Formats: sequence, structure tokens, C-alpha cells
Amino acid sequence: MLINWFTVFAQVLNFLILVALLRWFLYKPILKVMHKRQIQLEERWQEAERLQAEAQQALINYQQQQQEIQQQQVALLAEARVTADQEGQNLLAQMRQEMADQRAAWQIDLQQEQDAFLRTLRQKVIHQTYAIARQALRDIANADLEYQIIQVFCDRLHHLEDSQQQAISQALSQTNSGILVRSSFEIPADLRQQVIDELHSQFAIAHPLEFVTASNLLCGIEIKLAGQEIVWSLDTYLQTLEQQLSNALTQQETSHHEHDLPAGTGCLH
Amino acid sequence: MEITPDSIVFYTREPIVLNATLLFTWLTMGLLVGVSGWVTRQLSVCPPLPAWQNLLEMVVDGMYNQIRDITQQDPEPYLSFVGTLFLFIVTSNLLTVVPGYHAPTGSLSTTVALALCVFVAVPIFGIRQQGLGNYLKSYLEPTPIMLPFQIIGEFSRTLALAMRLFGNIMSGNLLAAILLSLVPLFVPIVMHVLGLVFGVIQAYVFSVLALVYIASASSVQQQNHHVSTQENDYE
Repeated sequence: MLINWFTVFAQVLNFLILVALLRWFLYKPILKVMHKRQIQLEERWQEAERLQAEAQQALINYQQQQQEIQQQQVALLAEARVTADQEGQNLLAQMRQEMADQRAAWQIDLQQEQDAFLRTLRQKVIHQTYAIARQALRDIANADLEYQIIQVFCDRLHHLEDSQQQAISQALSQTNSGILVRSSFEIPADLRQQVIDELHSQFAIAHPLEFVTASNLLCGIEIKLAGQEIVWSLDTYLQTLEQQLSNALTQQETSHHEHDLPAGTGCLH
Repeated sequence: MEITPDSIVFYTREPIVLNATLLFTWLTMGLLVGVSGWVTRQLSVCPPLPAWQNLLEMVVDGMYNQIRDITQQDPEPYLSFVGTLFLFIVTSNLLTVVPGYHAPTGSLSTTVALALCVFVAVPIFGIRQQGLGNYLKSYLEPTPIMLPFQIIGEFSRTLALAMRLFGNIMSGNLLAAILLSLVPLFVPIVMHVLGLVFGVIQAYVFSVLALVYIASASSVQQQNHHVSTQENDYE
């Protein structure tokens, strides 16, 4: 007989006991642990999802902050660029002004040096011209010229203005001092007499006359009557020439300055 | 040579017979309970897991998923019974590689006992799931004419369960013993390996068949419950 019924009964009992024991020692603890782990995994998953959401939010915030920083950077750069441009313009204007001032000062100095040089040159030219003319007139002086000088002098005495003539007459009437006639050459006797006659005819005087040769007179004759001078001399012409030359150079310098000043500004770019 | 370990008797006191079947059954039970108790004494929820815990979790989880896939129901009520069936049979079959060990499943008494357990468990699970009336009514479906055949089927499949497992394990052991006497080298090793494979397969077949019988007895109520739930939802 292959079946032992006691063994069968015992095996049924053994199996039921084994079911109970394994249920107690195996299935329950294992399933409990797996269930706990499942819950932990779900919690971790939820935590991970929450952290991921937070990270996503943080990323969004970071990106927003980064964007704001970039915008601020762009604004600051633009502002700095504008400020730098303005500062550059200011510095450029200031530099231009300084350059213009320096240029003006330099031009003023230059102009002063030029004026001084021109003044010196003018004086030298005038003096030289005067000296040359004086030397030339002295070289060409002769009897005819002296005669003509006396004639012209007499003619001037003859055609004095009334006011001047009256002033001289009045002054002569109040003094008895002599009358000094200075000339650059020795006046011959006949010409002296002609001068005396002319004086007598003009002023009716009885004052003594003294003829003196003066080397400082250039081809001319001079008479002093009671503080009044009646002169004819080539030196007068030469002085007039010198005055006119001086005036002409002065006008030329003035016009040169007027042309130079606008051209000297605003050259720096 | 013994065909069944029942014939190896250590102690007899009528009606108590202490044979190799009972002895190795207790040994197997002790091994299973001892290892389970030792491993589950300190279980770790968080990784890293001990290797033995990992092994047991893998086994339990595998059985859990198999039951769920086959029954399409909550596996928890069936896990203790069907899982213990599988673990006991497979442990008994695998331990045949140990010299001197006699698999309890090679005893017709053991397989009959296990088949009887299944035979009893089917109506218990069925009644617990469906109730007594519905369970008994299931024998009359689809027509009362099928009642005798249903009853015959209940007995025959129980007998088939017992005979299948006993025949395979007994024949395997017997074949290995015969080959060992004829060709003592190498061939018995191959036969032992094949015996291990067949032992695992037989444990799986026995457990799955028991699960199918139990689940089929419970599934009618599940379907009815599902339909009534749907009706309530529609209302």
C-alpha cells in the first residue's frame, strides 16, 4: 500500500502548520517591508517631484533674475555709454576751448611780437628813408634851391592866415626881443633883405633880426616871432612822409589783424 | 530499493508511524521556517538589502505577481496557501541533490495530503468569496445535468494532482537510482540536473493548478460583484 493514512493526516497537519508558520515568519514580514518600501518610494517620488517643481521654480526665478540682470546690464551700459559720450563731448569742448585759448594767447603773443617787429622795422624804415632823403637833398642842395626856398618861405609869410597874422602881430607888439631866423644854409645878403622886407611888410616891426645857420634844419628856414614859429623845411615834408608811412603801416596791421582773428579759431575737430 | 520514503520507518507505535516522509518533511519545514525567521528577523526597508532578504523578497514578489497575473485578483488571500505549496514542493524536490535526502513529495501520502488540502481549500475559498449558496449553485451551472460530472471532476483532478506529482518525483528518483546502478559515472549527474528541472516544473504545475482550481471557484462571485458594482455605478 503506497498510502499511509497516518502519514497523510500528519502531512496535512504539517502542511497547515507550515502555512501558518510561513505566513507568520515569511509572507507577512516580507510583504510589510515591501509595502513600507513602496510607501517610502512613493513619498520619495512625491518629494522628488516636489523638489523638481521647486527646482523648476528656482530655475524660472533664476532665469528671470538673470534676465533682469541682463536688462539692468544693458541699461547700465547704455547709461554709461551716454555718460561717457557726454563726458567725452565735455572734455572735447573743454580741450577745444583750451586749445582755442592757447591758440589765441599764442596768436596774441605772436601778434605782439609781430607788432613789435613791425614797429621796429617801421621806425628803421622811416629813419632810413628819412636819412636817405635827407642825405639826397643835402647832396643836391645849391644856390638855386636856396633861392627857391627863400621864395617859398616869403610866399608863406605873405599868405599867412589872418588869425595867425593877428596873433603874431599882437605878440610882437608886447615884446622888444630880437627875432631869430634860422636856416640850413648861409642866406645871401639879398635874400636876407627880401626876408626882412617881407616881415616888415607883413607885421610892421622894428625888432632886430638875427640870422643863424642851423645844421639840424634840412633844406629849410625857420623864424620865431613872439613864440610863434613860421617854418618851411624839407624836414617838414619828410616828417609828413614819415607820418603817412606810419599811418599806412598801422592801417595795414589793423586790417591784417581783422583778417587773422577769424581764421585762427575753430581749427580743431 | 524503496519506491516511497513511507517505507523507511524509524519508529512505530500504532497508529503512529515515524517514517522518512515525516522526518524529511519536518526537516524541510524546519529549513523553510528557520531561514525565513532568520532572514526576516532584521529586515531592512531601505537599500542596501542583505542578500538573503533580497532573495526572499524576489521569491515572494515573484509568487505574488504570478498569482495576480493568473487570477486577475488580489493575490494576498491566496499567497499563503499557494506560496507554501510551491515552496514546500520545490524545496523538497531541490533537496534531492543532497545525498541521503528523500523528498517527501516522492511519497504518495504526501501528494495525497497536499491534494486533499487543495480539495478542501477550493470550497473554502469559494464559499468565503461567494457564499455557500452561490458556491453550491456553481455546481449546477450551466445545467444541473452537469452536477455529477462536476463532482467527478472535483475528485478526479484532486487525484490527478496527487498522482502527477508523486509519479514524476518517484519516477525521477527511481530512474536516477537505476541509472546509478547501471552507469555510475556522469549519467546520474545529468539525470539529477534533469530531476531538479522537473522538480521545479512539477512544483510550479502543482501550485498553478491548485491556484486555478481555487481561483475558478472564486471568480464567479468576483464577476457577479463586478457586475453589481457596475450596476450601482449606473444607478
